[in-house]
Amino acid sequence: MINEKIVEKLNVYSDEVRELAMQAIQLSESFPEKAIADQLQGIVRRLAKQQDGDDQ
Amino acid sequence: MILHSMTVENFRQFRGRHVLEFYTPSMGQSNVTVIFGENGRGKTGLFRAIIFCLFGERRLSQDGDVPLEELQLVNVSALADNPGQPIRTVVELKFTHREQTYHLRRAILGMQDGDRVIEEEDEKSLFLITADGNTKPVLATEIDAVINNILDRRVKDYFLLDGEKIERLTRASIEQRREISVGIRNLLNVDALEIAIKAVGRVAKTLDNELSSSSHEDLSRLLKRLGDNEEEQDNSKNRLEKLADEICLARKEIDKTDKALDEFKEIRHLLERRKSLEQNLQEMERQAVDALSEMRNLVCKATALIMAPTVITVFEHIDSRKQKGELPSEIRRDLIERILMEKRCICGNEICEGSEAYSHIIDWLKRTSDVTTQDAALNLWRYMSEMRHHFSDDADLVEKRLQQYGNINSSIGNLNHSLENVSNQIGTSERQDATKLDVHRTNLQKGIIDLEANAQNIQSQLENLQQENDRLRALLKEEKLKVGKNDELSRRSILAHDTQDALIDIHKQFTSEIKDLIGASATILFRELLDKEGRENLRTIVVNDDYSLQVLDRYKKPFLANISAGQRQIMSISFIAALAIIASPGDKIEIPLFMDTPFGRLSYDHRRNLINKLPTLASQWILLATDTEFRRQEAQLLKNSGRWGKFFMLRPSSNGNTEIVEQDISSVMAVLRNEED
Repeated sequence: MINEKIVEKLNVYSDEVRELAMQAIQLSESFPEKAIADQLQGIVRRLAKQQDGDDQ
Repeated sequence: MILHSMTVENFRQFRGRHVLEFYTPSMGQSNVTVIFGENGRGKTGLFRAIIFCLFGERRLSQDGDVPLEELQLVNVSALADNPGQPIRTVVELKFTHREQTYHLRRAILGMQDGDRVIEEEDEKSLFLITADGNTKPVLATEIDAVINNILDRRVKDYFLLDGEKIERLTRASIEQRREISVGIRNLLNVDALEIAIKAVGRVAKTLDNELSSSSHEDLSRLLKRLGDNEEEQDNSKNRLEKLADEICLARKEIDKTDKALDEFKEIRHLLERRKSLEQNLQEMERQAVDALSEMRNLVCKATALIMAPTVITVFEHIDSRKQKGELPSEIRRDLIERILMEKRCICGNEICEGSEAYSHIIDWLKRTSDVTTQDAALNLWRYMSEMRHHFSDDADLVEKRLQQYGNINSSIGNLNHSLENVSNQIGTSERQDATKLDVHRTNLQKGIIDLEANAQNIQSQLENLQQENDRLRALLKEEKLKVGKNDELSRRSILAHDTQDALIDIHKQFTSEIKDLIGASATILFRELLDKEGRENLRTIVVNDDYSLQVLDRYKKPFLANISAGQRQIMSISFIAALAIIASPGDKIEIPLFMDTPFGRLSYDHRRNLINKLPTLASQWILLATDTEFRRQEAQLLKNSGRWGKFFMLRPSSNGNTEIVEQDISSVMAVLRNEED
């Protein structure tokens, strides 16, 4: 459960940054740092592709 | 979250099955439950049961380092009465959270095995109760996640306010700062934010490593420089951490030294007295030596005093013969002898033997001394005359010196006696010297100053490195963007870095804002809970950058060191309540607030304010109270508030067990009267 104030502050950033940040915070409530980093790699790849798709 | 009911079976000192109903919808706003019992009856045990049921944990923060094996949950007498048989310990909770009702059940099986008791998880189930009364089970693998969503296990202990926690928060110590830091970080997800920052940073670094081994030369070079910069930053941060640890250790050592010096405060006045006595003794001994020296100089005079009576007698004898004219005689002896020999007087008359004149002359002869003797007697008379005038002065002087020496010796004797007494009071020679402790403390202080100066330098270096880092990142981003148009790896790297930067920014703003918010919220509560006198002077609660608490007075000056124990307690409660409110989505603490004997140091006005205010802040207030804390006065206040829902008494039953007895609120006053009697 992410604090609402943090969610509010994330709104000023791009969709991809916001999504990656929220995923990272949510995962950090249950998993250790390394495990989170491993999971985030896949998310980053997806979002980067999504960004590329949007740009195109 | 509102607890409806709890069932405990063979849990700790609760033998058999016991049900506590905290709340039913028909009770409306009566959200206060009082659990009343003497020490050791199981009040905290009931909170422990809730934590066990929710999270499967048996340890509370107040347990400290107690080994887990000693935190036995299975009822001891049930085990003893059923040797060789496993005993099931069950806790069930029925609660509502955000309009969803849950029924949670957790059980363990306990069995005596020699000297120890083995406890194993036996059952765990969670049901969602639907509006129409049906139940929907939650998968066993999802139970923990559902519960964690309702109440994060990291903050489970935060809603039990016991005297110890309240006390910890009032002390301006490392423990206080840690407690506050933990509370803010756990309750408000700050720690999650910090882990997220590190995790995203790890991803960014991995991607940069991949990029640096790519063929883009400028990019590789920038990444290398950035890598070196970050390595240097990490080294600086490690050094800073080490310095912080050293400073922390030094401060702990100072605390330890202060505690030792505190012990010395009791005997410090004795140490000072001893020093003063020793100085006096030294002075007296010096005076004794001087007095003795002076007395040696008076030996001759003193010796003469021994002869004084004889001298006076002789003098008086000579003097009396002088007075009689016998000394010196009127006619010289040799002349009288010539007169007798010539038998002719100096006037020319003849003196016949046997005549009266002849007899007188014979008598005269007898009375006269020879010239030498007379001269000697006269000289003696003169000498003695002078001498005896000094006797009195000399005697006075000698007597004075003797007396003085006697007094000095007497003082020396008294001083030695006093010293012995003081030394006995000070104790054995194994005690450390307070002076050495003072010196040690001073050295520690100096050490801390040096360490802090060192830390300051490293911090400045770190700031410079960070500035350089920002510059390199900006260049790197430009380079990546140049390359990134056709390079997915670069885009990923940029995204990871942007996200990390965003999280770092948010962390900075959030922690700063949240401390201000908590301070403001705690201040409002604080002023509502304080009595009139307290409100006049105490104005604001502040959470400092280092997570310590401070209270400002009406002049905006720090005042925490001067507030009373009761006011400190109110401050702690205000802070925790404010933190809990801010962590909750609405303006109420949405988790039941347990308070274990909170009234101990509070005056009547404070108790009244607490009883009136807290039920409005929390969804539920469960007050664990002893007979000395919750009396008719407090009961009446609670009754008047209209918030009192339930009253349970924990009564001793057999074999160290406890039974839970519900009392009707209307009969509580009579019950409490009996208890007080």
